Amino acid sequence: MRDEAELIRAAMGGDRRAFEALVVLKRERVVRTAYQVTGDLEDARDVAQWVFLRLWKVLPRFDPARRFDTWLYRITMNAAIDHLRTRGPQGALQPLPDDPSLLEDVAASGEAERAVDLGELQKVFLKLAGQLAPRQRAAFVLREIEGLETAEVARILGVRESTVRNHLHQARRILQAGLRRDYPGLVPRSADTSEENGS
Amino acid sequence: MSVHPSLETLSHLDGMAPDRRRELLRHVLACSTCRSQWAASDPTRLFAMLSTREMPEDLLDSVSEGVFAAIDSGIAARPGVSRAWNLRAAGVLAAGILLALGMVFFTGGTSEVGSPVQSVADLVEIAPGASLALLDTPSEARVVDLTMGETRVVMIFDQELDL
Repeated sequence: MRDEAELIRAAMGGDRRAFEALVVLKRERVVRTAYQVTGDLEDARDVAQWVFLRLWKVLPRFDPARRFDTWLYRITMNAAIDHLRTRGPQGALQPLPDDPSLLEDVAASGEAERAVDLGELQKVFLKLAGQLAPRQRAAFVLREIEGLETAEVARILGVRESTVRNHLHQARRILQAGLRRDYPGLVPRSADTSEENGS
Repeated sequence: MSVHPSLETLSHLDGMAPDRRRELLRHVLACSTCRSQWAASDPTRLFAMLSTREMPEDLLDSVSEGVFAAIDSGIAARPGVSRAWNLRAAGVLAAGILLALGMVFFTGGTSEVGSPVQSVADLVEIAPGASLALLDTPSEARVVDLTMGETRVVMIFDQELDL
C-alpha cells in the first residue's frame, strides 16, 4: 500500500487510482468538517464533492513543500463557509444518525448511564453554533473539534493567529452563554460558576 | 482505556496525534469524572467529543461515487488549457485585431501598412486556431469573416459607408 505522500505525488501526475485512494483516505475528515460548519449532512456531501472535484483540478499546482492537510482544510473551509453564507444558518438541518458501534463501546464500559449522548451533543452544538459568524464557527470547528493548533487554523483561514484567537474567544463566549442558559444539565457542576475562559 | 488520563494530558489535546486524541476523547465521553474535570474551566470543550462521531459509510461512498462519476463524465476535466482560458484568449486576440484594424482603417490604409484585409490576414497567421474568410459581395464593400475558437467577428470594409 502506498503512503500518503506517494499517493499525492502520483495523483498530482494524473494517476486516477492514486486520486481515488486519496479521496477515500480524506473523505471522512472533509465531510465531518463540512458537516460541523454547515450543520446538514446533504450540504456536507455537496461541499465534500465540490472540494474533491476542485482538488482534482488544482492538485497539479500543489506545492509538496506545504502540508497537504492544511491545503485540503483550506479548500474545505472556504467551500463550507461560502455554502453557509449562501444558504444561511436556518436550513432544515439533517442530524447524523447515532453511531451504534460507539454506543456499544460505551455500554460495554459499564458507564452508559453516565456517558454523554453524542447525538444530543451534536444537536446542541448545531443549535448554538447557529449564533456564530461563519469565521468564528470555522475557527471553533478547526481548533476545538478537529483539534488543530492555532497557527495551523490561521494558515487554513488565511488570517493572523491573533485573529483566530479573537474568533475563538468570541465563539467560546457565545457557546458558553448558550450552554449555561439553555442546557445547564450538560455543564459540569464545577464549571457552573467559573469565569468564562477565553484563552 | 481503563486508566484515567491525567488532567495535564487532557489539557493538551490540541495538536495531539489524531488517533491518540480520539482515544482520549472516547474515554472522556464515557467517564463522567474525567469529563467534569476536563470541562470544568470551559464547558465548550465538550464539543471536542464530536470528533469521535463517525460519518455514515453510505454517505462517504456517495461522495466518492459522485466525484468519480463527474471526473469520468468530463465535468471536472483537469485544465491543460481550459475552455475558459481559450475563450478569454480568443477575445483578447479578436480585440487586438480589431484595434489594429481600426488604426489601419482610420489612418487611411497607407501603403506601408497594407490594406485592412491584408492586415487582418497577417494577424490571423500568428493567431493559433484562427480562420479567415473573404466573403463575396455585390458591391465594392469587402466582408471578412474571422473565427477564433468560439469567437466569430464579421467585418465590413466599405469606403462608401457613412458612419
